[in-house]
Amino acid sequence: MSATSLAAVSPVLAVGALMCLMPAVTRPTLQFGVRVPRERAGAPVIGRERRAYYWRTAAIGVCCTLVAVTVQGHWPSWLTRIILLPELAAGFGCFWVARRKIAAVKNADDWFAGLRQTVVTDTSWRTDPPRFPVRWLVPALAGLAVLGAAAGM
Amino acid sequence: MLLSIEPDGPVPIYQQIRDRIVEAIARGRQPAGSALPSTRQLAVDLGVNFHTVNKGYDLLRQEGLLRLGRKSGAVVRRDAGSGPPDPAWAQDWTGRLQTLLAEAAAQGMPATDIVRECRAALADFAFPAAVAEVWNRGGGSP
Repeated sequence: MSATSLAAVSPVLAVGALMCLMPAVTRPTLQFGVRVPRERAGAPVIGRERRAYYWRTAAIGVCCTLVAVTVQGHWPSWLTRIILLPELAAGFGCFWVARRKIAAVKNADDWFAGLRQTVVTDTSWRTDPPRFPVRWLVPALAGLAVLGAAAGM
Repeated sequence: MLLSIEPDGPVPIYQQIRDRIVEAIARGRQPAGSALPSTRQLAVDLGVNFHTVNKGYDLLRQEGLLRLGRKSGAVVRRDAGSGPPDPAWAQDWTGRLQTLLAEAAAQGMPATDIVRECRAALADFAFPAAVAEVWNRGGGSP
């Protein structure tokens, strides 16, 4: 596979991998955009929907990558990237299905019953934001200057 | 200042915003002259409607605690060290205090407990040194 072909196929593979890994990097209390109490983070419906989402997005990612690999030699590279659109749409579809199922159970069982939800904000971040630490750039700039001087010698 | 609200609480959100800011001013965390975030910024941070924050700020402006300007934004106008309040406001506050104390009395709370709770609440507030000295001479603690 040439570098051009790899460049055309890799976005499809990367998007598939990112979609698949998305639930692993989101907060346990915010699964598929549904806010849940900490005590319910391990609810069976969440585990079930996460597993289903992994399998669905992995299958979508593999299929789309295979299609991209198959057609990349015959189509122009920009046309290969069009595959990203149905891949993303299918990923969002999987997300929406998982979100809808978790939200339905959450609402039916009233997960937040008897719990107090509080929103807190630190106003000083708005009125007195921390300044960018310019001094921290000094070592990096000194390193660049040294490298520049060494290259010029 | 850490500003917290309970979106599902029984108290309206604009009233919670107003109450938290009043408490921060009384505790010295937002002294006179200090700035508050703009209504839009605070609305984004709290995840509430812009008009809700605007209503809370407007209440504070009507009470003389906040100055709202186009260029300066929302700035605290008064604090515990700003001198005596407006007599009309003091009269209104006395009426509300009587109702609040009457609630405790009606529920059977002993007078000593009421006084203790009042002292504990006042102990958190940032009174100027002169006021604290007068309070201490009277046998209490600000």
